[in-house]
Amino acid sequence: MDLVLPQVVARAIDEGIVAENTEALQGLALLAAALILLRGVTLFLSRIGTRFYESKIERTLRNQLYDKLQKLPFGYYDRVDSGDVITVAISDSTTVKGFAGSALMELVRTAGIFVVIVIGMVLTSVQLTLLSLIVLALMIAAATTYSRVVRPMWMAYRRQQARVTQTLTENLNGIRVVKAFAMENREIEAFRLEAEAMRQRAMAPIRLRARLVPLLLLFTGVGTLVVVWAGGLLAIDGTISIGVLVAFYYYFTRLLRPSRMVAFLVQRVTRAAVSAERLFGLLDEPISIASPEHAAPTPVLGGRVEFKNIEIAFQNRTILSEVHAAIEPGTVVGVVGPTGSGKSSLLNLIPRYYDSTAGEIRLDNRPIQDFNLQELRSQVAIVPQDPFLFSDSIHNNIAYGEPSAGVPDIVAAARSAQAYEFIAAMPEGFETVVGERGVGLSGGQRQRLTIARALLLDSPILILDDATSSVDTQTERKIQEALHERSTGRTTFIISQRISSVEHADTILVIDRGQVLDRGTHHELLTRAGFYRDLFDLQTSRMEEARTDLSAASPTSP
Amino acid sequence: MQTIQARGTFTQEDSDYQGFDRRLLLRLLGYLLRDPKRVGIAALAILGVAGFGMAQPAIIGRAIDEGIRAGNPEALAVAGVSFLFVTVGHAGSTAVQLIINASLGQNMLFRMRMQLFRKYQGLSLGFYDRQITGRLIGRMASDVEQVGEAVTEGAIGLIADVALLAGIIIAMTLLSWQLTLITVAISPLMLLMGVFFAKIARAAHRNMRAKRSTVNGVIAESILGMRVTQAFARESVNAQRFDSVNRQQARATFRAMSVSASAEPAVELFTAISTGLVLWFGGSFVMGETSGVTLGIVTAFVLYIERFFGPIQELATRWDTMQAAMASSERVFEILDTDETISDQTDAIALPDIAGNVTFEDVGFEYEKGRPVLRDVSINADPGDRIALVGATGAGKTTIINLLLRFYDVTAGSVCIDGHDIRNVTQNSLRRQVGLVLQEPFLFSGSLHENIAYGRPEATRDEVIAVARSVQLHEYIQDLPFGYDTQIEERGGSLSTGQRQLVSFARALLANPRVLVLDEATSSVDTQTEVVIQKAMETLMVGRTSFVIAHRLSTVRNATEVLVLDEGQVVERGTHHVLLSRRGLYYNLYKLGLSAGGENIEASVARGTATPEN
Repeated sequence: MDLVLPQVVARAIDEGIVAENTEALQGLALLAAALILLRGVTLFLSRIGTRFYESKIERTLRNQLYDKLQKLPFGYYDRVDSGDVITVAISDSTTVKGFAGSALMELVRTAGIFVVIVIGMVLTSVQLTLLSLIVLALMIAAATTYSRVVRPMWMAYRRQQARVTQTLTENLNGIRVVKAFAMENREIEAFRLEAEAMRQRAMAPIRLRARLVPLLLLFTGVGTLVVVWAGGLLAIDGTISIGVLVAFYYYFTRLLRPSRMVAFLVQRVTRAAVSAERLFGLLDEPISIASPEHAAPTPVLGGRVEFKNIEIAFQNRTILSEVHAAIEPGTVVGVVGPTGSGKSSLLNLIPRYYDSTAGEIRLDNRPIQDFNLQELRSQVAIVPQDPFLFSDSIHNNIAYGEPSAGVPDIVAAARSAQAYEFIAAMPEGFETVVGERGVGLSGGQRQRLTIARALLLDSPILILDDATSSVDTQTERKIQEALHERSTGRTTFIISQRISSVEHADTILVIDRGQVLDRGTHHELLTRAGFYRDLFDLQTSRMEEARTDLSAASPTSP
Repeated sequence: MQTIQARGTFTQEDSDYQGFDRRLLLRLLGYLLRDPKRVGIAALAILGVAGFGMAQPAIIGRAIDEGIRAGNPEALAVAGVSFLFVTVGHAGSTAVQLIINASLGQNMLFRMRMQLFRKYQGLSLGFYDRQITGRLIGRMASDVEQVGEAVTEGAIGLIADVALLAGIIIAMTLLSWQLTLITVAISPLMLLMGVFFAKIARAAHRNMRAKRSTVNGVIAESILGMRVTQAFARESVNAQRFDSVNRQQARATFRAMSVSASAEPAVELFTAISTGLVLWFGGSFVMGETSGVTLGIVTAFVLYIERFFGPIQELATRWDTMQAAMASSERVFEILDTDETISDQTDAIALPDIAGNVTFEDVGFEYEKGRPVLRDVSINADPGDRIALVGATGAGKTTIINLLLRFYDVTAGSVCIDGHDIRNVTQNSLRRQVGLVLQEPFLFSGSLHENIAYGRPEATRDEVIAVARSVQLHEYIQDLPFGYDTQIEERGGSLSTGQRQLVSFARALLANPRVLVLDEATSSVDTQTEVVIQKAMETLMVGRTSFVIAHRLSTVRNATEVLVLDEGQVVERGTHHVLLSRRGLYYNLYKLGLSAGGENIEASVARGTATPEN
């Protein structure tokens, strides 16, 4: 269409106006209008098509990404900043679809227009085309140079933008400290530097663009000049007709937009390339923990857990080594030890959140690597240290691992976790929305909800990772009793800092200095000097102190 | 954890902004007018772009008529040279326009960001208690940016477009008023169509943004809760749920984009109709030789039309951009207009160096009118005294601390330090002498040194080492590969909970306040760390007046006075032993805690709950 239209206009001038032929003029004017209309329609259709394709790409990309995120192992999430991952998943995928869709299509279209116009020019006048080709070459050179230089500028701007947000986020999260230390002015100064840098970084690519766009305008102008001047001389000679000259000029003005577009599109493409790099980096992230190709279906587990010569190292530092233990179904195992001794790391191996560096874990005498990952995990319930709740109702939070669970089951799980009473006391009961945008819960309440979530699964293996640290001891006792009632065959692991949490366990593992230093029942361990007895002494001596205070105050009290 | 959550919820609130508020617009323009020099240059540049741009087709028309058709190479040369000048002018003013617009916009954004940040620093904690951090960040990250766009793309663009259109119409009228009428006749239709498109586009875009925000929310929460998801093998359910919101978003995006995509073809259509009309009538005029219309003029018109309908269509879009951003600007201004409820009095003095006598006289406080959280609280603490605050959650312990630091102002009575009512002194001088250690120690990103020296950035390394040593943190830090220059990562990285607490102790120690406010941590640390922390706390409190929200037995035992709070009132006071012998609330709490069999009985006392904590 870009090819034909100027020709029609040219003929309208030559055959119509110059030849003073009204009929030809009117016919050609109608033809021109019809052509432009057709052009509009095709343009519309191609645009719609592009958008459709584009939204499809985005959807597929997001689904792929989501899938990937769900498969990435815990180690990945330990390593990265969740904020960064969220940014990649949210904004980079949008940028990339913009590239795959409109930017790429527009680029192709623009290139197409370019070629068509050049063909049109050649057909119109070879001499004029040769003259203007020089200008064209300069234009393309300018645009490509621009794209190369502007890319790092954009990246720098993006980074600075992130820094500004980061600075603000940190400031707001620490606002109490800022105020308490009266450091507002220093914070403002720090922010000013970042905001100033952001302003500078934003201006850099614009300054460059302010050089490119006028340059392109200038080239176009000079091209026009060449065409009209040289062409005009040719027309005066009679070598070409006025219509041809106008057509040629018309072609040239049509180049104005695509040439501007090139710079803009190239900019978008380069921005998309940066995003794509990050996005594909995420998609290509290796999945170090995955199900075996042809895992046999997992039967309901008995709950026998065996650790064979387990070693866990992290960044060349050994955290745990030579761990041996065979735990029979139905056993309650307590795990104690100082912070950072590797208690959680060891138990995290059972649902394969991480893999051990050496050694083997067997469940019901089958290596855990042989299980389908989802089937394995759905039979190992865990209450993590950090009680995470989703912004959803209490009901859905408890039913998280078993969305189809009925109300009676959920109520029962809540009762066992000693959470029923406080839930029932809320105005909306189980439908109360909790989590970030929901009502505030105390640490102990959050912990009890996560316990209920785990209990609902009724799994053969249960891991409580310091799960009752914010729950008072009396409630903790009730939870333990409920656990005991709920199942007889369940293998339970309890990690704790409190003697009271583990004293009734069938066996207690004492982990310290990278090894299982001792094991036995509460009473056995108390007979030996060591970490456990020290812990016990410290905790009981404090209780004794308290008791003394009390009896000093009330000699008649029991 | 809070950091990421906040960052995860950048969900943009959608604008339901309908009306057009002149007040807002004027206020926004006020930002621009603060830079009158640039605004002047911008205006000149706009005129330049419009003027030079308009001259080009006219010169071409002349070249055709007087040069080519008349067969006059000299006239052609004159036209050529003037075209060259005009082109240079056009390019030059375009360059200026681009730069000036951008710098106007960026300067405005910068000013707005700084204003907002200053406001955030000035706002009282009462404000933060009611706000979600993520939303406040969104004000800065997305709203401010949108406002900038509204001004540069919307307002300035609108002015530039109007100037361009006016220029075209003037130029066309000068050439031939008849052809101008023909061209302009259909432009109201174009404008109407533009308005219509803008309306549909806006609804579609709003829907798209709402859907996008849902998808973003799901993504953010999924990532934050990924461990739970994997632990409970919920992947397939989540994937289904995600696919459904994702599909809805894709559909909404497609719809919104389709509407936008129709704009350009519409412009083409109108250009086509006009071109056809001008050729038809213009051609007839040329042949009729009636109205002075020449071939050159017709050519110039065809070129003008090329530039005419784009801006008309843009008008509606730009108007819409501006309106959409009005909502953003309203949200930004809402914060900028929030009262800083706590501000220094005009005649506030700097609090002189204090000894540390703190008195609360019949202090009452209510966050909301008619719902008092503190009533008639009187405390007298002499320099060096230790006041332990005990009571259930909501009894008013934290409020007392907040009042002492003047995070809030009392609603009755007064708080005095060394006889100075704290409302009469500057906040800065007050808080420099009253230290705070929070239950959840907050560490800033930066080195360990910077974190310890937070309250006294000028402190030397030796001073930092000295305080680290006295809280038994020095040896640990020394063993780190980068020592005091170790960078603190998100969530405190390599530091344990206990160590982070020690860092915040060291920080308070270095600031060396006369009055110390301590919110004891309840989170469980292992027993050895516990011992270290207790020692460090002792070190910290020596020689200072201390207010402690107590969770540890040693704290209540060593307190000069224990205040037992219940429903905002001090119900009992005295030393630990005196209180026990009185057999009141304190005694009962204590006994209940003990019979529950807890080894951390002190926590029970502090929470005031021996019954299940609800």
